[in-house]
This record gives sequence, C-alpha cells and structure tokens, in this order.
Amino acid sequence: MQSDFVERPNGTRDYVGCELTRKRAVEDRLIREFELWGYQSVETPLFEYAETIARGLHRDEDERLLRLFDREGRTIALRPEMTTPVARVATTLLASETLPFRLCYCAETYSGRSGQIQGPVEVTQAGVELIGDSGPDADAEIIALMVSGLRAVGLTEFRFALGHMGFVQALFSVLAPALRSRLRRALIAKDLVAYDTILASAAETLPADWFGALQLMPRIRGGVDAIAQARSIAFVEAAQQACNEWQELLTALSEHGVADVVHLDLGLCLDHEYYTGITIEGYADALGQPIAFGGRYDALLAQFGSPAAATGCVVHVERVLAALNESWCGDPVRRLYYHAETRKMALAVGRALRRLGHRVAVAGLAQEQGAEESVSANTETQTHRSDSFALLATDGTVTASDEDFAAVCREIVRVMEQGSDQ
Amino acid sequence: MLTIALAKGRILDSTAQALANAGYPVPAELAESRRLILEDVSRDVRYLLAKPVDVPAYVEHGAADLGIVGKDVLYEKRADVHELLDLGFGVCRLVVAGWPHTDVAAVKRVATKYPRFTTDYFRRLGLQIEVIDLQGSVELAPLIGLADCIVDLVETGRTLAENGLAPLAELGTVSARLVANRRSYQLRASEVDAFVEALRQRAGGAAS
Repeated sequence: MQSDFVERPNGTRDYVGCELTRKRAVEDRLIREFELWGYQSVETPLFEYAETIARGLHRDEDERLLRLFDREGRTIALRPEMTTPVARVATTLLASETLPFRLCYCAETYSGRSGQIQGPVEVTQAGVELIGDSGPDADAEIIALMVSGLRAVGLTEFRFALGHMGFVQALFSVLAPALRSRLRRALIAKDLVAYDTILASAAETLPADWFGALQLMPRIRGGVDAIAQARSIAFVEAAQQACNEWQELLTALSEHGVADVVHLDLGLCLDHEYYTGITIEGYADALGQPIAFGGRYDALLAQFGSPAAATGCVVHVERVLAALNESWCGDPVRRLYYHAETRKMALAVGRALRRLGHRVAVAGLAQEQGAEESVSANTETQTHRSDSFALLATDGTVTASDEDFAAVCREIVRVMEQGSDQ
Repeated sequence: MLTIALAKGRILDSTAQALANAGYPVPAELAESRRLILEDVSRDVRYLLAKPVDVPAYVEHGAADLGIVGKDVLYEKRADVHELLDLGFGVCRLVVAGWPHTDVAAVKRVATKYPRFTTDYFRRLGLQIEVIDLQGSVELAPLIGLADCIVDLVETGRTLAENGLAPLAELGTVSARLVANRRSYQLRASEVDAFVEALRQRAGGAAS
C-alpha cells in the first residue's frame, strides 16, 4: 500500500520545469500589464481570521473554507479569494491614498470543496481592484485591462459576459424576499428549469408583464440589442438605471477598442454576496470552464469600516494556462562537463556563459550519469538528456553536441587564456 | 459545429425521438452501430454517445457543448453546467422502497445509487441516516438485511413487486434535461439558443 506521505493532498498539484516556466510567464506578463496600467502590487497573508473572510462571503461558501487555529486559538482560514483581503488592505490605504487608487495581485487561493467535478483546491488568481470610483468608466477600465492582460499572455479567442446585479435586483423587487432568494440561488446554479418552476409557482401573485419579464430575463444575451430588450422589461427606475450603466459601459469599452469581445448576459449572477453592480465572467474558446470573474462591489469596503466604491476582476491562472495549451519551455539547459584537471576552467567558463544569458549546468564527467556515453557517441540524439553539452578536455580542447555551443565555449576559453597570459 | 452528448440506455430512444421531432433526426445507425461519435453534416451537429453518469463531465469540461441526460444523474454529479430545459420525457419516480409497512421515520441504513438525493431527503425529515452507495440491483439490499430500505428510480414498479418490496414514500420525479457547457452557452449563444428553441417547441407541442 502506498503511504500518504509520498502523495499530494487531494485537489493539489505540483509544477515542475517547463510547466512552471509557462505558469510564471503568464503570471509575470499579467502583473506587468496590470502595473503598466498604473496598478500597485499587493501581497497579503495566505490566511486571514475567519471573521475577516466571512465579511465578504456568501453563507453557503463559508462551508468551503479550509480552517485552522492560530497560537491564541482563534479560527483562521486559508483565503478562498483575494478581493476580501485586498479590500481589508484598501481600507487601511484610504486615509493616505488619493482616490481612486488601483491595486493588483497574483496569489494562490484555497477552497475545500468546490461542489464541482473534481475541482482543484488550490487556484492561482491574478487580479485587479479599482477603489473609489463608482462610475462605469472604472468598470470599463477593469474589463479593458483584463482583455489587454489576456492578449499579453497570448490568448486570442476569449469573451467577457457582463451582467448587472442592480438589474436582477430591480426585477426581483416585485417578489417576496423568500422567493427572491430562491430565484437567485437558481440563477447562481445556472438552473433555468428550477428558475422557471419557482417562478411558475408564484405566477398568480405577479402582474402578467412582470411574470413575462422575469421569464425572459435570464435568457437574454447579446450586444446593444440586448440593452434594448433589457429596457423593454425595465419597469422600475433602478432597472432603467442599470440599462443606462450598461449603455455607458459599452460605449466606454468601444472607446477602449475592446467592444468586440464583450456581450451582455442579463441573468449573470455570481456566487458572492458582495457584488452590487456590473458583474463580469470571462470565457476562452479553448476551455469549457470560465477563466475570469469580477464585478462591482460597492458595499464590501464598508464591512471594514470605510465605505468606498470598488470594482475588480480576476483570472484563474491555471485555467488560462489550460486554454493557452502551449508547449514551449523557455531557454534550453546546456551542460558543461569537466575532468578533475579542467574543473577550475569549466567553472569559470560556466560563469561567463551565464553572464551571456545561457542556462548552464556545470558537472564532472565521471559524476554525471550517462555523460560519458553521450560524449563518446557525440550526437545529441543519443544523449541521455535532450540538452546540448560541451566537454572541456584535459588538453584544453572542447568537444560539444553542437558546433554553435562549441564555438562559444572555445571563444571564452581563448579569451580567458589570453587574460591569464598577460 | 455543436457537439451534443447523449446518454445511452434508458432515455436514448426517447431522446432520439425528441431530437427527430425538433428537426434534428439522429443518424439511423444510432441504434445498431457501436460507434461512439455520429455526425450530421447537413445540420452541423455531432453526437457523442456516453454512459449517462459521464454526460455531465463531458459537458462541464466542454468536450460537448450540450448534453441530454436525466435529472437523477445531473443532481448526483453536481455538474457545473447550465440546465436549460426540462424535456419532459424519461419521467421516473424516485421512491423510498422496502418491506411493506416499514416505518420510513425509523430507518437507519439506506441503500441507493443516489446518495445525494437520499441524504437530502432524509435530512429534510430530520433524520441522519447511513447511506450505502451501490451501483445496481439495489433491491437486493433490504432482502438480505444489508439496509432497512432503498431509494431508487421506479418506472413501473415491477422489479419491486417481484421481490416483495413496496414503495413507501416518493422523493419526487425526475426527467430528461438539456444542459449546456458554460463557455458554449456564452460563446455559441445563437447556435445554442436555436437548438433550445427547437427542442422547447417540441416539448411544448408534446405537452399540449
């Protein structure tokens, strides 16, 4: 029987070599793009007090926290998402920063049980939060920045669906509170059959036009035409207001030059209590699951004692990687072998190669498994590794798997010997 | 091209019938062939034939854009997909069954293929029970004393009766559902909506 200690906990994974190189490249390019747009990087602890996290969470999600105790016995929890910790930080910055201010991060998040098929426990979220601007321009900036970030990492086929919590709430305002919450749960579960059934059970208590509007609402997706449809069922002021915001948002996004990768989804409801306005969900053509989530959460900072408008969006780095489906591996590792007599020279050549930007491992020929066979065969295809190699022989000559690498090594040896002669 | 995962077995014939009525006749070789992928080039649709319990995974991961599968499977699998339409066929009752006169409020161990439905039902009754998760011939469990009762799908009730068991309570009914992958629902909205509309009209027509 396999012992636990050689396995990883369920839902986690290891990254080694090329895969990690690609993951870091995605993270670095996203953060670089965020910083280019004037966002300051933030890092917060891996865990927070459970009460802190509860300020931002929906009740049901509470159950998915990975909890532990600190030395005083207080319950702490691994952060399940970054928006709440960043909001906590933002409230401390409100006194010193001029509004609005911009924060970004790339960090691991944890949830115990996602309720989905074999969901991962550990998710890397790269995100941006714009604090202190309540207008659609801020939402537009967040979306345009995410589009720009995804393009910077090389993703080409993707879209963002935009919802509005204000619109959903306005249409639900005619309903009894218990019914509202059941319908909201159905929208979050994306279960239109349950939504229709719950709605039908309340049909006789509703005016016919409201009933029709509520039936239609979660099915409307599209561009400017969807706003027109939304207006036709926006019976209350708050719903019209949401339509105006959508309109302004789309105009601003077209001025950002990214209107072609967004559409509205009137029924979009995300699984977080804190969203108050525009909601965002992003999808890549190459992946079945959404890759980005976000929206406006004007009420969250008040939970930490300092009310301020805020909007933001995150991408799940692992899903972006899966959507990219790339196989590149960064620069190849070269190997430089020495005999006991040529070790000093080899170490010096190694340092010089690294200064030139080559990745190079320096090793004794006799100590490295299979190295002697590789060198005697002297063909790259027969080496025990796919890396190229060079051997510094006792007589000072260089044998290498490829002529370019040999030439670079010989040149370095020549320059160093000249230097030591003088 | 839309890829649609169909559940083999119990609901496959009704599924093919419903698709045909909606203007998407499934290629004739469906019944006899052992092929797992069937294409209908003229309508730009491709069908995957999968084991029912696997349909939610195909759709959640986007290997299929749409899927047709029973609510029983869908609920148990907790798949993160859009549930778009109750297709109205493949209707079965989900019942608690056991020896006649078994007191449902006093059971301790329940055998079932549907642990989530079962746990939820007994929790609503305020009962914490032990679920024995079986894959088939669930009726065997009360016969040999492995469980006090079972929770299972019942179409005619014949298997129960032949083994001397009786339905004790009904949890609800399940039927076939049309589900969509989350990406496809957004990125192929017009194709998905057209397909949903075609099936909805058929479903409406069948009901009236």
